[in-house]
Amino acid sequence: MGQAGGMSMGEQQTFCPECGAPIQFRGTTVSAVCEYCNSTVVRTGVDVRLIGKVSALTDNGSPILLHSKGQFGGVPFMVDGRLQVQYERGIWNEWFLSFADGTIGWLADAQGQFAIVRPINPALVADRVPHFGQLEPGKVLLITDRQAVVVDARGASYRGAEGVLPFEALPGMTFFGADLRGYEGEFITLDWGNDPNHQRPTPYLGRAVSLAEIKLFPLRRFEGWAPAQPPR
Amino acid sequence: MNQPAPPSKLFREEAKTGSVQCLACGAPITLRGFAGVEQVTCAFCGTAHQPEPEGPLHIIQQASRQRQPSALPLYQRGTLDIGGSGPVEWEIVGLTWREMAKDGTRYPWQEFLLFNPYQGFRWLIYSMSDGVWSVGGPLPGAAKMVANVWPSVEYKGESYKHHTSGVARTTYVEGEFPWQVFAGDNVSTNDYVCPPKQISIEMQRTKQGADLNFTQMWPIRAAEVWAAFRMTGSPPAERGLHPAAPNPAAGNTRFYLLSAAALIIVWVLATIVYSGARTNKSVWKGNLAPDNVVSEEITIGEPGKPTTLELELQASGMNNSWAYAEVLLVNPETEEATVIGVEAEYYSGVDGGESWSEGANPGHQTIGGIVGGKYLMQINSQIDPGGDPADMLTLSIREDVPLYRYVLVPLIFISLFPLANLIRRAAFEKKRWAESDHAPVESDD
Repeated sequence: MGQAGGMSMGEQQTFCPECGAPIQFRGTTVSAVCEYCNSTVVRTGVDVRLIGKVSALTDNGSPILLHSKGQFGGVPFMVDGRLQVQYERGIWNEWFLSFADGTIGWLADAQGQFAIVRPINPALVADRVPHFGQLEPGKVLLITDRQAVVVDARGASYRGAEGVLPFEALPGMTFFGADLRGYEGEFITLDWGNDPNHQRPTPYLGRAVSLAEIKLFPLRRFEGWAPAQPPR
Repeated sequence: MNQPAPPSKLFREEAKTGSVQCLACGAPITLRGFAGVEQVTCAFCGTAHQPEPEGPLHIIQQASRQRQPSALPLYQRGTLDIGGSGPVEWEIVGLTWREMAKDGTRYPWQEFLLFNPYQGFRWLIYSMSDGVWSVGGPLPGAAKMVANVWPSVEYKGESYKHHTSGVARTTYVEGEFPWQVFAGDNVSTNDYVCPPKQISIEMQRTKQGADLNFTQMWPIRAAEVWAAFRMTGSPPAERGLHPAAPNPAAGNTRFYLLSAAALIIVWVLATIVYSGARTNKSVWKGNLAPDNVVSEEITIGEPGKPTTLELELQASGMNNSWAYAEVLLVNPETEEATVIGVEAEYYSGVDGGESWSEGANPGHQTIGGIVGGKYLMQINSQIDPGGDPADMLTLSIREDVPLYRYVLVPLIFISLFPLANLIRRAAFEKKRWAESDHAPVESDD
């Protein structure tokens, strides 16, 4: 049960139904992974529900750590969760960011390339983009008056998670998404969810970033490499 | 607020490099990419493995090729500033050899995959056919295709002109990659240049779908690569021109044009001063008749000082005809003679409904280097009896007039430097495009 005493409005202390360890839900997050037993717990109203053991997160060499802090567009954020996704050609991470102004974002981390995107109004793209099946790399779409090129369109499945997430991510669940790059350096993700046959994907807009530029810290240590220094 | 941040068990420990054995030939394989890799290819036999999440490898493509030495060895580290983002240490974790065929010739190159765990991946490319190097990484955006007579792309307000297209075929692979790459892979590539930048667009179609990559590259000197990776000896000679090599003359164009502009201002001022200082004094003026030779003693300028003379011959009432006057100046002391001729001519008519005219009336002749003093002057004149001959000829002689060659020679000299710069610049561009798909067709083919 919730024990909100001594905590800010958006935070809610619950306990893992599997092992009893404390679990922190933050803001509007829905799903959390217990840091002690890796069980996925979903918040339903004031109650929590166990949805089972997540297949273990794979170490895919990411330098990003849960609870790292950074800033984007002048607004500080914290890395609150990670969704690890798998498709035919590999694994990538989507890090869930909570911004200090109460908004959220995602830090995409694939093949050593990073991009931060933030949700935009779905009405801006609803019925103005094709079905997922009509996308292919090289196709140019108009997203909120910006031309952007589809660079990747794939079905992928949730592989694992850590921390908290704003939705219920069942392991193995397949979803369809596309990445687009704009002529002014924009990075756009369209998420069709688990049904590709509609024209109302959830849109996210942002741009490619470097870890130094977003002052992300702390970062993971790597054998044989000097550790990352705190940002100045 | 007391921030609850319990330490996660996951990934807080240092990521380790790995050491495994090739499943085909048993050679040791080092894993340097910290599990961020999709494929590791045995350097010794070329067998490609996929590291499984829980540790073991499995073979995705068996091979038994010989190891070939590349320009830089696998796992070598070097510090490079790529695209002005500051010096970063990079390790070569993978390398491929690729080639493109054009007009029956193979153009092979080596690509070195650079890795830094905090920066991701970059590429260093060595063109084996001409010893030229490039360095770059993913373009943080997309380039816009522009359908021009000369195809080009635009990125962030800059236009990149198409240089070369082709199919790049992978012939050799060693080490780790965050994606799958095999000998025999074909990728269609398009290179666009905006010196010193290049954008490469690669499209690869596989069973799993298409892959579109935008890459930004820059030329880098072989000596810089050698120093960065602490290689011994000297790098292979650079025998060619990088498609995006900055034009060495282009850097000077601004200087030459600004200098020329400054010199032209000086020239205009000097011309005004020079012309203004001339007296343009009349020495002689009179009417001429063809049957009447003028013979007079005149004084020109100041004794002993050279001056200039201008003759002007005005032929009144003349059309489709010419008139000529010849002035003979004899120095009474040295008996040296100077002959100056001046002609006036004028022709006009109507041809095919259009009226035309040509010739100069009055005619002018200017001469320099006349030493001041007393002269015996003799003037002869001639009138063309054809056409509509002149009713009257008037000759005027003035001294100390501006001499236009004094004025024009510096102007030619001033324009020579920017002109030479433009010629050098054009010659360099010709060389750049000679290696492209847009080379002018050679006439001797």
